[in-house]
Amino acid sequence: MQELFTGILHFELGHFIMFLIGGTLIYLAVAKKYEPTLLLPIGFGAILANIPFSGALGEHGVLTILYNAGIATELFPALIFIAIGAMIDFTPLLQNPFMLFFGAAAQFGIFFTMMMAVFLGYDLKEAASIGIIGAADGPTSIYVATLFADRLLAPISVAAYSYMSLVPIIQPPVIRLLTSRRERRIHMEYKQVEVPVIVKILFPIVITIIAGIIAPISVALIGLLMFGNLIRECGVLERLSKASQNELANLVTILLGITIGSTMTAEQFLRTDTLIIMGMGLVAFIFDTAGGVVFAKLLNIFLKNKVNPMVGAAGISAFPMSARVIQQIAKQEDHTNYILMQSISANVAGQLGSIVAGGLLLALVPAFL
Amino acid sequence: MDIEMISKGFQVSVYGLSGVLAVLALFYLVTKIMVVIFSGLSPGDKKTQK
Repeated sequence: MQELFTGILHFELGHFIMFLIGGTLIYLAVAKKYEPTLLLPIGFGAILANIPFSGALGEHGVLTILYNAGIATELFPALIFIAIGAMIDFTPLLQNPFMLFFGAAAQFGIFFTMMMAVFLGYDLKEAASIGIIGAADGPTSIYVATLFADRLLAPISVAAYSYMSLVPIIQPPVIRLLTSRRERRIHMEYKQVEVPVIVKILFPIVITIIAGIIAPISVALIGLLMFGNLIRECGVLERLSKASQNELANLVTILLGITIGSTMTAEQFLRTDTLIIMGMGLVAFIFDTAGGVVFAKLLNIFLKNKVNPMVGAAGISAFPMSARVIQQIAKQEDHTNYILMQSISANVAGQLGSIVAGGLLLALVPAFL
Repeated sequence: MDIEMISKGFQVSVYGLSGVLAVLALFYLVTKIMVVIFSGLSPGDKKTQK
């Protein structure tokens, strides 16, 4: 008879708080539509993980099996990269490759936050995993955290996805603080160039080779992303491209989300670390935005045709949200100003930049330890 | 405060950020070259919008 009450007898305040946190994530996903594909499974996974003696966890628990098979082996994030690659259209970037530089500058927040984490006493691997939240790229954050600091995986994933969905709230004040009205009203000329199909096909192959030679460890990240993109662009694998964009993405997202949620046990999650990581994630997003804007302002000192500095802020990986936010602010300042295409180019560059940053961290950190 | 760790963190940050910039600059060059070569082989439309 006592067996029936085991769960009740071992139910603690920590479990209840985790139910509330899981419930909040589900609420944000359903009511506010904040990254629902990830936050809902994470929220529900958190509830499953905090039921005392949950059968979903433990040696034979389904979520433990999924964790060992998909997260500990980095399989799920790697598969997600194929799906994302198949979803990304690099055409705006190929039309305007100069925007690649903004994709680099807006990774500043990653390294700034990493330094902050080191100052707060985290070791280099943990600091890099916290900094990578600033990649504004969930799978990259998960991939790096899995390899470097799996004990911090849950808060890092939650912070990455939460702040990605909060880009429309985080970016505008930072941009307004760093730019004058005159700068925000700068118009940019847009050249609509026809990109030959052969360039679209060669691009993922060449980029993989370059990135792979520079940082071989990044091949799992950038190689699979570019493989997905090659499937999309080659023109003969329509079925596989659609399967990657839909079935693969959906299936792996479900498994990834609920498995990450299952790591949010009260003992693991209700720690000061979680609060610090959430705080530093926000810092990372703020300094990414600032990095992009300041870089654009610096470029304007030398450029004849000025760049609207807000476009620099679109160099983060949160696509297409960041580009939309920039266009919205531009329109508020001057309803005739249309910088959406440039922002989209920078945003796509940010997707590339974040993965390169992740790959470089994976290569550099062990070299310094 | 672990000065050695801070120094390593600083080096990773400097190499990392300049590495991202260098790699993306390389991507820029390669992309430019590919676009120039292959656009020359199959001339496309050039429209300018303001």
